[in-house]
Amino acid sequence: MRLVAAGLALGVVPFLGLAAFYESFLYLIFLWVALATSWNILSGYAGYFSFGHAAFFGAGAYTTAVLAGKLGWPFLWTLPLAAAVPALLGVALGAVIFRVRALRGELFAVLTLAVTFVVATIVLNTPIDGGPGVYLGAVAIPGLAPSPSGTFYLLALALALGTLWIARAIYRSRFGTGLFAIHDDEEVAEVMGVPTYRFKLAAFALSCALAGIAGGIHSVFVSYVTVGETFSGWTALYVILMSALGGTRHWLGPAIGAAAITTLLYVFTTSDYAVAGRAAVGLIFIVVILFLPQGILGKLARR
Amino acid sequence: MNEPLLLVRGVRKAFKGVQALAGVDLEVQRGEILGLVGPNGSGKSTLINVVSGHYRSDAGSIAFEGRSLAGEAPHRIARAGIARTYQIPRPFAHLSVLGNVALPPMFGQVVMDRASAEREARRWLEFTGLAGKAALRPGDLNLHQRKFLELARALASRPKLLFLDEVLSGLTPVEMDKAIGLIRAIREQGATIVFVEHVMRAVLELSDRVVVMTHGKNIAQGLPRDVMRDRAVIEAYLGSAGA
Repeated sequence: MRLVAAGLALGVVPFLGLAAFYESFLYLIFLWVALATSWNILSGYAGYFSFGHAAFFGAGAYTTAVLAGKLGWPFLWTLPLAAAVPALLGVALGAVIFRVRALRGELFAVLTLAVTFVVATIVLNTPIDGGPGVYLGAVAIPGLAPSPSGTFYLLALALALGTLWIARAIYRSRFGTGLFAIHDDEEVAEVMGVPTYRFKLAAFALSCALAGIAGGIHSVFVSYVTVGETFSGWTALYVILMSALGGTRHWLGPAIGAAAITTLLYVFTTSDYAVAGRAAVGLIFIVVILFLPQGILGKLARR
Repeated sequence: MNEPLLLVRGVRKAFKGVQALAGVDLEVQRGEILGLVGPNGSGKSTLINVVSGHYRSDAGSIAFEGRSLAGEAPHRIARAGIARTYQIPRPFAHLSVLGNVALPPMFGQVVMDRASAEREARRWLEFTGLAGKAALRPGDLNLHQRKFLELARALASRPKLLFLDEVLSGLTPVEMDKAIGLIRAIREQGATIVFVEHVMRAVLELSDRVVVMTHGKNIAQGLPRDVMRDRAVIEAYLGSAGA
């Protein structure tokens, strides 16, 4: 209920006639809320730390880029596929990785990072991109709001709230309880009746699908996608930091972290100290690891 | 005799050349308390791990209520009604004591929603004397309380067959009396119990029947007092006379 109320309240913003600057800033916050929250569904709840979120974000971005930018599909129609392609990629990976007991912990992190490079290389060296990047400037932007920036604001808002709703539903469900048990001791969880393989696969697929939709929306927002930017290692680092800062064991944690970090980065990038922003992010990372291992929400409310 | 609840025939399991189970036969009858004894390394815990599906056996057959368990995933075996405790307690560290005990009923033979699972969990916390600790984390409990938590968690799914892996060792005599009473009470409620134990007093007091294992095989079985006088058993524990 509170999520719906928040959605309605925030949904009127584009109709208030604010400067596009505010809409774009809030758009970025919503985008990162969706990315961090989606990451947390597998990596926070079940403890499978993925460094590969950029791969799934990027797979979604390029799905929309190809379909809308190159093949002329209507933008919104590409989004279901921008979810499906990364989800299938996640399921294919998970079907292999999750069967092997040795591939937990660090190895899972390294493997998902490697997947980012593999996907980026494939995209770069095939007609999907081929090197020059894909322009999406000609893609028609649906008129959901008075201005294009308002439309992106609404899309990102819907995605962020939808992702939060899913993360909360899982958090409260039997599925979520199973994921938290996997986090603590996967073998015991399985022996207690948790279908661990299926749960991990489902969590991964959902996580990837939501990241893919974020990628699809963002590709049209930036109107020009390149492999270097889309599959940047920063994406994975940011979502991890945001979730860790807010707290990975609560559905709302990553959103709080995302809002804080995005604001901080925005302040620095709009000033003359963009590099200092990244340094500050690094510093926060260290502080969180040392003093806030449970995150802000973990500190406030123990589950 | 009725069909046994659990029927293990010729089960073998090797780890990198070490034959942990070298052809185990075991029959567990409904409603009995079976003591499984044997020296360290005789394969008792491995047997539990194989029956609960954690390890896949190399050979032999395992049937529960007449249904083969071979190759079944552990969560399906749990759902069939088999539960276990761990010798060294393995609670879910970030879940509350209540959350730990409420988990198995949410994934057991009858899937419960969270509210009923927590009601069920509170009953078992009460039963094991942990009711006052429901909101704590397992890390806040001492070893003995963690052992009782382990027991409560295994009981909460209302298993038909319960494996207890050294739940009694390390308890003080008073705690042990309490634990022995609990195990009897569990049987009264209809569960069948196989317990692995080194504490002879408990084995003698609790078991209807004892099976002795050594070197991955069962070498003797019978009434507790008879088995403990068996020559082969004494040799297995103490080494052969004159050696």
